[in-house]
Amino acid sequence: MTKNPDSKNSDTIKVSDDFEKEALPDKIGNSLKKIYDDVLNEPVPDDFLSLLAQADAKQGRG
Amino acid sequence: MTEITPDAQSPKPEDVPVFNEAEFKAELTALIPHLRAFSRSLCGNAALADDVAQDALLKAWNARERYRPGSNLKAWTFTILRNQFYSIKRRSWRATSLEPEVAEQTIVATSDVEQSVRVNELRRGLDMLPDDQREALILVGASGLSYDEAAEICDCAVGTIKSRVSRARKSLEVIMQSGEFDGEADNVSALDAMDTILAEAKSLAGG
Repeated sequence: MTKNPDSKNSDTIKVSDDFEKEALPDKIGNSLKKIYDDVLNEPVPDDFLSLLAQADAKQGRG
Repeated sequence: MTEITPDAQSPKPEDVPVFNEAEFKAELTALIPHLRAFSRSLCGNAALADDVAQDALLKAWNARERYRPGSNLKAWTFTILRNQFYSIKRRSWRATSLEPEVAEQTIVATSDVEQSVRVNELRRGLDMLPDDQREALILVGASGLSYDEAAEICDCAVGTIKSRVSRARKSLEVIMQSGEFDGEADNVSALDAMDTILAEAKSLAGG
């Protein structure tokens, strides 16, 4: 009943059971990107940023 | 370390970009989310993924003099990360991968329950794939790299990458199709079924 938000084509409005009949390769491709993008959009943990800052600072002292 | 092939242009000596450390640091910083995303897909476990990504970040920084300015920094750092993943895996993991986490963040990230279930199943399916298929699929299908770039990163022929991506997709299709329980995908029954599916997928994938 819900329109697939990831659908690339505006004409593929799925009705009830046909929702699951969306082409599987597309489903997989979209979900794959979503899995990746979810992490991409996470805020970067502080220890990553401080890692580079510390590494940089150490070089300066050398 | 595998050298990344330079871009099509052949710079004259006076045109060769000089290494600029501040720029390198800025570009590397901008790549952190990508490193984390690639690492998470490889490792299947968020904590380990961040450890590997941080290791790779530090290695990339320490190896900065080996980076050719103007060349593909994303591919260069991904190569480092991939090597780090396999290095850690050789040292401390069993042959099978760690149990993937329940995708709480997936459920938070989308209010579409159907999609949450599907993405959750895909995560499990991804983790079932052999490493070389999973990494090829992620590189080409999710991180926006080309087949050529993926081949450089994985140190193999482009045809090999294409073959791995194709097998990965087919295996995932088997897993996803077998895993659809008409909306009743509770964790216990899903995991039981996954063992059977894994065996099927492995025989399909050909190892």
